[in-house]
Amino acid sequence: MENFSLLLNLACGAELPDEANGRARRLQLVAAALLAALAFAALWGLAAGGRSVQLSLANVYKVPMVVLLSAVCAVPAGMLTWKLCGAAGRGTDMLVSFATSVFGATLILAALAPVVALYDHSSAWAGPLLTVASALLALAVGTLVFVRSVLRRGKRAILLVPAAVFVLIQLATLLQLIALASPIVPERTIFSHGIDPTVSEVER
Amino acid sequence: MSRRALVSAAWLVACFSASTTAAAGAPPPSAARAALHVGTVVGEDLQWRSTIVLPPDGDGAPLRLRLAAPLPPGETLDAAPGVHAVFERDGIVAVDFAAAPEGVAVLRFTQPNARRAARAHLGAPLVEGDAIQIVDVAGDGGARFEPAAELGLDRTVTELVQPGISLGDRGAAIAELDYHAPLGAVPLVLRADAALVARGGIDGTLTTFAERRRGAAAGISVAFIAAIIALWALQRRLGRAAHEEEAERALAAEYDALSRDVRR
Repeated sequence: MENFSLLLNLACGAELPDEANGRARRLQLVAAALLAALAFAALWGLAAGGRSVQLSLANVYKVPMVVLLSAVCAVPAGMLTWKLCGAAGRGTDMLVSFATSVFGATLILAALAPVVALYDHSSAWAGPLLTVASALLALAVGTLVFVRSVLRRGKRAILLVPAAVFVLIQLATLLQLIALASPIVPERTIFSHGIDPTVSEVER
Repeated sequence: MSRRALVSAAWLVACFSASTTAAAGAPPPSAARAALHVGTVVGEDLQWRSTIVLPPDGDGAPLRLRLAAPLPPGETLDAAPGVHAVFERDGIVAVDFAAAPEGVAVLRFTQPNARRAARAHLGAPLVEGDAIQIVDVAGDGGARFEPAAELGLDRTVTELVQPGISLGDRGAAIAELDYHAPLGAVPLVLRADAALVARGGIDGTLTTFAERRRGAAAGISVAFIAAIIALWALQRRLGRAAHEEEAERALAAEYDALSRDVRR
């Protein structure tokens, strides 16, 4: 619970308190944020499955998998960019910012899960729209939380470069992982088959 | 006969045999200049649309366009005025035109149950001869064709090319066909050479996106479970380290306070 309130404060833009500013504590926060994100993502997955019980249960595995692996895949490229940029500061601060943003984004998903579940069960057109909209909102909020956190801690604009790499790599991984895990929602979306049809659709 | 004459005779025989072997492997001149065969997977079937570029000076005389290999049994030519399929042992081996088309001929074929077999044999109507032909397979569910390794096609970023087809020849054929590969497509660029004719055409595997991702799913599951275990272990281990850090910080603060008191 202590970790949860600390992560929530960080997601809201607060600074790390002095007593939690040790290296081990920061890394522990990263692990705690990602583990909590798994639970929040599973909750949203359960709701997004719509009327299909089988799909909802499968989503308890699929959505956390997509969230965690996309986040993990973004870390090496993001941290390498951070190092190459030569920005002052600690690498663990960057990691805390990133994990906090994943935590914040999945928290939005979890908060919206009851509404998503309700609309999925009661409306044929609003349900799917709300499901996709909630996911896009979570992505947008997660990105904003990350950028704000990075700028507040590092206080240098150069840190936006690794932040952009983190976000882009995560989005790129997310797109293909969603395709591999599809179906997540009962309806077919433009993300269901990965990058190829998505780009064709955009080109059209 | 001198020794030198014998060596010369042997060299001549070797040259002749090499040239006849090469002639046997190389396809004969084609009636077509280039061809594009686009296969679309519709359910279990493959629907082919072949665009064949012919010499522009078609004289209107009847024309028989021979295929490099018989099409699979059951494949049919869609009805078109003045165009007839020539069958041999249940397979189409040629197409007859009542009058030679000028410039471009477009033919449509239907290959039934192409997806049922584990090993797909493409019923692309490859034209006999040395014309460069492009074969592209697409369709619902992200269908993709992977040619058999024995065909020996070289994989480039955008195409699978038969060895011996130069970049210039390939470019000329693509320009002649006005072909724009759809995004994500990896077309086959080849000539109906002796090896291809001997194989009876193009074979390989035809898969959908869902079939391809099954293999990746197992690996991803393992990575996911490993990541969770690692995070859990890290969380517990770092918990202890964090307590130690906290204790050290408290100890340092106490020590500083004590030092200040002593100085006073």
